[in-house]
Amino acid sequence: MGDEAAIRISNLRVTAQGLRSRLLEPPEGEDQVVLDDVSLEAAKGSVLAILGESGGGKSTLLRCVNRMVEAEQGSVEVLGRDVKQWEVRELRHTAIYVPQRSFLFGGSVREELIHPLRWNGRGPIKMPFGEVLQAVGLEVDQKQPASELSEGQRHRLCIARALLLFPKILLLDEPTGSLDVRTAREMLAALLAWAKEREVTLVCVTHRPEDLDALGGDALMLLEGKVAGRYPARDVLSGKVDADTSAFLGSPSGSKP
Amino acid sequence: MIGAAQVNDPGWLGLVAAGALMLVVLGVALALGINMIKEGAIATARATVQLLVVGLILGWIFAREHWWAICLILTVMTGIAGFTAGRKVNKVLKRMGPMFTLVLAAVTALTLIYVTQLAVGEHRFTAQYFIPLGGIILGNAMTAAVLATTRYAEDLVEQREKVEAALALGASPAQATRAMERKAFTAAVTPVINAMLIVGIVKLPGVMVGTLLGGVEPLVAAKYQLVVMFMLVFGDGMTALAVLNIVRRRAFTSAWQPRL
Repeated sequence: MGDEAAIRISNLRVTAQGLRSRLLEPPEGEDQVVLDDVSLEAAKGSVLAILGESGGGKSTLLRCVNRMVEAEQGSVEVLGRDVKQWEVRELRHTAIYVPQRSFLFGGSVREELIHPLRWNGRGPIKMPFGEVLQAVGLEVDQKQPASELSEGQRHRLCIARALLLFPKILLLDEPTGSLDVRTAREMLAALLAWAKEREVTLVCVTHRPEDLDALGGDALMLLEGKVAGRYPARDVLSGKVDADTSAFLGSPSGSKP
Repeated sequence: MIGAAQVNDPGWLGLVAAGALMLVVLGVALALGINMIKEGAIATARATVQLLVVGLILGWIFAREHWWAICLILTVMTGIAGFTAGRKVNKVLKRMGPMFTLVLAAVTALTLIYVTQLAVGEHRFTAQYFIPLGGIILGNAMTAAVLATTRYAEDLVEQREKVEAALALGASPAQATRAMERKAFTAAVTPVINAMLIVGIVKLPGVMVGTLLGGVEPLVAAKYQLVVMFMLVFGDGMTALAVLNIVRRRAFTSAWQPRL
């Protein structure tokens, strides 16, 4: 993988103050550090899982890549270019963040997929609707109101909605949180196939060992806002990791959000 | 002047007689164990001073018709309205006073010029038309600015995650908050629209009462009231639109990150 990196993060630091409303509350007391000196690289077309306890900065890390959160220090590069140099809309097409909660913007399954196309001035003509639904393992009638879907289906619809913009980087926040183990495995397999075909980089926050197994690639351990280690996924599964990481994986408190 | 002025001056004694009504209700309340004397006294004092001072100032201006005096008082009124509105939205957005003042100034000027020239046919810059009409526009537009801002900002805070989900898919702040802007605009113009529905049936509005007391023919008074209502819808609506554009710009960074 001597290729150019899809994502390169260097010495990233984010504090709670930077996350909070910048107009309302004045700074009060000690500022809490959310991400501290985080550096990582993800090659084009690679898969990276991010593990860590809740509130450990995993979502914030992803939200720095699509510039929803501004770094206080350090830099974030997407496809070799600093996020601050990207045109915002272009960046958010290239690296799409799909939040943990699924948000619908109204209408049928088909219409739900079309909303982002409209925002971006693209027509819904000749779009591979069926294909993106297939890529998340969702078999539903496209005319069905999206609000009638189950939580797990909605979440997959949200991922499909992102795929329709053909991102080069997909930032998924607990994509399997609302799915049972078997469905999760199926969805990840379908998603991986889509990604592989198009050289899409997958970054995936998760806390399920089963996901690591399905995803392959690397796993990055984020503890208290710092990178605690990075291992091939199979090493994590077979326990060939340092004490902190194995303690986290072994503790039941770490496996619940 | 609209028709002939044939108003009775209440006189100082008349004022005392009217004030007695206030005393009656305060007295009865006290007998029932509700002590509102302090509030009543403060309200009475403030109303008396404020209104008499305004009466004196306006009297001076009306007698001389200096264009700069009319401009000055309209400017002061606009500033007070703008900063009062700014203070009222302080909880959701800070330092909106100057922006509100600018918007109110533009909207009021535009509305006043249109209405005086085309609706009431007053082609000179007279205190008699510009000051009262300006005051009504400002008072209503101020409320519209507060309603639109508060509604938009509160919705944005409440639905921040959903807005971010749209932004993450490449939506601009305007696209991501379109539904909220619609709601905020509706909230701002609904009071005057509702007032139009019941006007004349449930209550006679201030303008009509004033012109009727001023000795104006009732049909003319009714026409004035209509002009005023249309004027207020315009003023409120334009204010809400302008304010929402500014608020949206304040509520997001240039990198399309919500700040609220």
